Amino acid sequence: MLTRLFTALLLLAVPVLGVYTFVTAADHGWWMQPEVSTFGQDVDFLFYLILGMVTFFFVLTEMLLFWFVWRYSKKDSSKAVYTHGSHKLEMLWTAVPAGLLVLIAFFQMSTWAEMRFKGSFPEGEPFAHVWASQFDWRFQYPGADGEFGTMDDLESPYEFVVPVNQPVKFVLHSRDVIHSFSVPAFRLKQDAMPGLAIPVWFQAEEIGEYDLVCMELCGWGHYKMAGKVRVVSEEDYRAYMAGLQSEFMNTGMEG
Amino acid sequence: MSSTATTIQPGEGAPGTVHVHHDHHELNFVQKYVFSVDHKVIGIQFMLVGLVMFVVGGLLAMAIRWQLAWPGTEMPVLGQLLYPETGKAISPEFYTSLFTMHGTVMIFFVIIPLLTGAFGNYLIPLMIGAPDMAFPKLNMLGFWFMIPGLILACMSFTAEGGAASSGWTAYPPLSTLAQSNPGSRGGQTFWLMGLTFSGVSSMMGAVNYVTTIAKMRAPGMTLMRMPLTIWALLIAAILQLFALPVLTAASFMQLSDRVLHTGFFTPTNLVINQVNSEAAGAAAGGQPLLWQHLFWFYSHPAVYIMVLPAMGLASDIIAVHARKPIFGYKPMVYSMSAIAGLGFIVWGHHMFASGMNPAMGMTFMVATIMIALPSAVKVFNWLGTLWGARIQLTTPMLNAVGFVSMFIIGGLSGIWMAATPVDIYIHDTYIVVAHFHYVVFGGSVFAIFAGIYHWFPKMFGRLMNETLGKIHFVGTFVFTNCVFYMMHQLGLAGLMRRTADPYAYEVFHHLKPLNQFISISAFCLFAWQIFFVVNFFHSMFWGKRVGRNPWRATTLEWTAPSPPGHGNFDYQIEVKRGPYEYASAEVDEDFHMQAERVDG
Amino acid sequence: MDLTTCRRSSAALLAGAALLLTSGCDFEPHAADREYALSENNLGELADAPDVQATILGALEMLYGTPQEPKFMVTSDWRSDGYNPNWPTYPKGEDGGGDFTDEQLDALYADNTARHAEALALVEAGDYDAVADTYLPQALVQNWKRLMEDKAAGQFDTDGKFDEAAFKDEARRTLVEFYPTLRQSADFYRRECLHCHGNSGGGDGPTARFLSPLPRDYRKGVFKFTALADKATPRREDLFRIVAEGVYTTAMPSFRRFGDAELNGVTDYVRLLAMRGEVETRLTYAFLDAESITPDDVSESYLDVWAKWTDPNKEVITFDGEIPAPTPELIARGRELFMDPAKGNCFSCHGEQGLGNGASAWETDSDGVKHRIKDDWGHDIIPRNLVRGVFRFGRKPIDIYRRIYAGINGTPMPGLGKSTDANGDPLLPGDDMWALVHYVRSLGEKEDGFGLDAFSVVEAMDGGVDPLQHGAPHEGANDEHHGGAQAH
Repeated sequence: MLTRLFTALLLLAVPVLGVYTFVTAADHGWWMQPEVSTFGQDVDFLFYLILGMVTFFFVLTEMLLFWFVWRYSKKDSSKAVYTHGSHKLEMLWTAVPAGLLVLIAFFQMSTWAEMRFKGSFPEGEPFAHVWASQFDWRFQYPGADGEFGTMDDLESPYEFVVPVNQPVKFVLHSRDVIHSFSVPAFRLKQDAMPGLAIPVWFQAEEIGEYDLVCMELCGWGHYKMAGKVRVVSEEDYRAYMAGLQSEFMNTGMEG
Repeated sequence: MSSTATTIQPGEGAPGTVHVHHDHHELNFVQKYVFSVDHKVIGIQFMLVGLVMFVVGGLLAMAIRWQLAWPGTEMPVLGQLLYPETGKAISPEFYTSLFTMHGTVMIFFVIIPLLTGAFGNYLIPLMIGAPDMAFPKLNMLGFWFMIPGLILACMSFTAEGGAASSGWTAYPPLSTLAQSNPGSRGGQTFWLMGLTFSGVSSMMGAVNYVTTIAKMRAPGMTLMRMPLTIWALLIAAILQLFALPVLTAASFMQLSDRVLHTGFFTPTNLVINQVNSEAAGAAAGGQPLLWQHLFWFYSHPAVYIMVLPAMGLASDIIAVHARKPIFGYKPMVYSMSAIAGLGFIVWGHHMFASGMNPAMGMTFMVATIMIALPSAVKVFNWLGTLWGARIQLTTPMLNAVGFVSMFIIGGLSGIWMAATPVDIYIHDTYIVVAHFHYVVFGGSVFAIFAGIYHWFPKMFGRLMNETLGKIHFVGTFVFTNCVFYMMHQLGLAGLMRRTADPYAYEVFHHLKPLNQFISISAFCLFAWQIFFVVNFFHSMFWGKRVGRNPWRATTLEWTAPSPPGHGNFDYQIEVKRGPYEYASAEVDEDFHMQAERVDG
Repeated sequence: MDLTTCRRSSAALLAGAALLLTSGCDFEPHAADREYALSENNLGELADAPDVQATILGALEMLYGTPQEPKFMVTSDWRSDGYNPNWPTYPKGEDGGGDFTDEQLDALYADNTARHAEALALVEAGDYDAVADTYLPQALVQNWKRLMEDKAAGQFDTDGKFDEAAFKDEARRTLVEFYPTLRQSADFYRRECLHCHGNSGGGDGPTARFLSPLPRDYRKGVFKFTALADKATPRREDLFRIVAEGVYTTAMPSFRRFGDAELNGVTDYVRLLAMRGEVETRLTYAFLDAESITPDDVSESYLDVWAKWTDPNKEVITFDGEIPAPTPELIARGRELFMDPAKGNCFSCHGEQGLGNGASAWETDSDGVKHRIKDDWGHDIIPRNLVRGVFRFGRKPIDIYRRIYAGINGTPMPGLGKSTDANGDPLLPGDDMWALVHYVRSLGEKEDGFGLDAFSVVEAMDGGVDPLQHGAPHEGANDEHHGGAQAH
């Protein structure tokens, strides 16, 4: 009898505590970081869409499991229901999830295309070439002549400064092993693959500093391969570039 | 050895014959228990080795959890041994070795050997009514190929630079260029050799299982009368047959990249630690993406290899202890086949962020999302089985129900990972860790426990202790959820996997208490397994003796003596009906054995 | 099942849960205590004199404390001057080493203000308990905890009433005027630096053996990358820049994820380790010279080394004027200087094409075995492949100017800035330095690893070609083929 109670309680605890954890998670900061990019909203919408559907089926199946185990483990000397299945039910629980899953798959496509397909990339030259190496990020800007790969290219460690509300395209490289350029707040993640130059784009919608995290194991120092993406206003961006430029040309006179 | 082989003559192995030979030669100890060709002994050997490695993998996990909860503090025992100069704290490169070896040991030397090796070997001949495997010597060889694999993988720790440390995925160039990573100096070579041995071992097993199931079923055992365990093992074996050669080839290519300096996976002109890869002799022009494709072409199906047999075991155990036929036997078989089929075309979902053509991401996404469907069908069918049942809450049943409960979580969280845009956020975060541990620990391991509790009487002729078993189940279930459920939360907050110090980022500081909670739960989970260990060995010698069919189950193995003698069945049998005739009105009892004695 | 089963299992479960809760709350393991050790070299010199080893270690502990409690000993003179090197504001007064100017300190506080804006806002709002949940440096968390304890103990009560204004002032000050103590910086060092640089700063942590180049051994007092004209010990700014920006393409990453205060703090601690190492060596050789160590030896070395490190009058390499434009003529002139054995003589190590493969990059030892030349630490050293355009300590013109001017400490790379030719005239007068700088920079043009391919990919995106097809890496950087073409 106690085994029965215990088991049923355990099985009941799974959906109850499971849902409770997710509901209260945000209070502890155990929830998604705030999104600040154009496709952040879409990604979050899709996340919540799937979360809703998943929660429904999670609660449904776990509650059924709890109820059946509780209800049908009662001492009963009669035989169980003798059935080998039901064609109708099988059809139902194949067709309904199938429809939902197709729907979900369908919903993803436009966002995915917006994030990655070449048609949605902004026109023109990239803002920067981003270099990943063990265990540093370097950002290379075109300098005064507006061209990459020339002597006056500007370079900054750690911090990637981009203007707000503008599509920013950059080209991602790796000098050694696989790294991953990931800015959780932008819902952006792209591996830096040695031997490939991978174009990436995003558009940040809020001024601020956002963590740039390496998300692909790149060796012993993977955990400390940090960076920052600083989103600034158009003027601040210009000022920053001018500052980089003057720093580039500095001759050590002012310290 | 030769005497046992004679029980199965090639021509006689045709379906429908069960040979009962009594020409035993006296076997010495080594023949009987070490280099045995008897599928039951080999199965138990696999089980014991798998359980020992389970402890090893678990200890590695404990070290990982220590580091994640209290990075940079004095590590008990290990710290004193390895790092006296750092204040006895784990160094970051050792941490990378830890999680690499944890994954490798758990996947290749625990879950796969336990499910396909132990249960596959033990149950296939018994459940289809065969006296042994089709190729007993190959079977023995399969086990003895795993041992060098296991030793080589463990020797990885002794290499200069420590054990392999590029993750169990071993992405090049981190894994191929010795200068890129401490564990890639010598450890990675051992790792690759170990992997290859274990792969070959699995392939030998798979050939054997497919042949045995195809050719050696007892009279009357049609395909649609096979228990779901057999179906699951058959499908898993087919997956292994098709996928493992790819991994074996790929690991040979990586080995040759490392040893012969070929350039399958190494791009041109990488300078790492002052060493130019080409100047160091590595040929160039390769691409890491190639490895990723080859690796995941095996390793995604490997996930199904790890969970399909678990589904089979759980289905059988649920039917027995629910005293009710499986709900929707055919849909169960079809959905397992669908999982296997789709399983081959979804590997790209591990590579959404890799720089692969985004159009490919789209197709892989659709396939991956659709693979949730057969899994859902299976869950509904298990629930259908429980409906209107007469459930007996024995230890195997508790674990099987635990399996269903955990598999639901693991399966549902997979949908996020399948959806490309959402995956971009959660790829390589702790959500992924939570997801696959729910499938592989919550799923497979609970099914393994259920299977051991369920078939232990058959293996040793004694029941396992129910009290200890229940204590073991309750604690394991609670702590499993404490550990892995909270990892969803870590992942949602964006915490990445495989970091030696998650608090290197200010934004993750507030996750420290959560990580400490998870770690303490993990230590409890590990310690709790003592109940299982005690129960297992105590029951082996002093457990309650049982007869042929303690669970009053229908399938063929319960027709044989416990433990079955040489050749398994002591009389001729013929299969008369399906495997799940419980609560049938045809007989007074609530179960109707699948096979009947035909030799009078 | 029977009742006992369930009772037992529930009891066991409850016991487990209780254990989990109680142990989970207060359990906070620490790193084991460590001890400074003598360097291998000094240990070798003193192998026969274990008592002298103990004497030196004792003296060093008196001067610099232990890894858990590092400190600079305050001499009686300093004490009477009110001068305490353990506190970063010491140079604020008139005397002192001149390490921190008021402006620098102000900048530090401004950085703290920006970094802890969230916490400061909470202080203004009076929500003191929530401050601990904001992102604060680990050392500041401790300081804040102490402050809150003081508050709880009634330290801010006047006449039995909580004086909120006084507390707010103190809280603001704690957050803004945050600067870690040496002890807190040593803890930071243990977490972030020790596994490479070692407990005593010998560059011998457990990770070090997998790295090339090896982590710096501070104890020699030689640091490769400074902005100084002669081989003086580095200024705080030089060390700070390395910590903040990292040494590119080596295992030393940028530590910018920490604030200025913490990085300055750890710079202090690195300086302590370096000074400690130098004093250690001086004492060792004092013993080898005189067969004994006197208290005077100790105090003399201590003060000497301190003065050397804090000397405010180190010559910083600067260039008074505009950097000349890199015209083709100037670059051609640079090429000439590069190849002229009497002038730059760069090719001898860096190779005619700048690939780092010049004849002098190797030497032949007495056994006739060819091996790489060594640096002061006895490690193989590889001349820079200039064609890659990747420089460890900055690719700005002034950075390369400084490298050519002063060379690289501890390596065979000489400084040409003050060299003279046979006639006593400057070796590289006028724009010649810049000609060389621009030539070196031009070698890396379009060549630092992405060359044309990145552009073909970007173009491919517009032109509708699959990026995967164009991912083949550049052939260009393959050492033997290129560079020559760049050599104008």
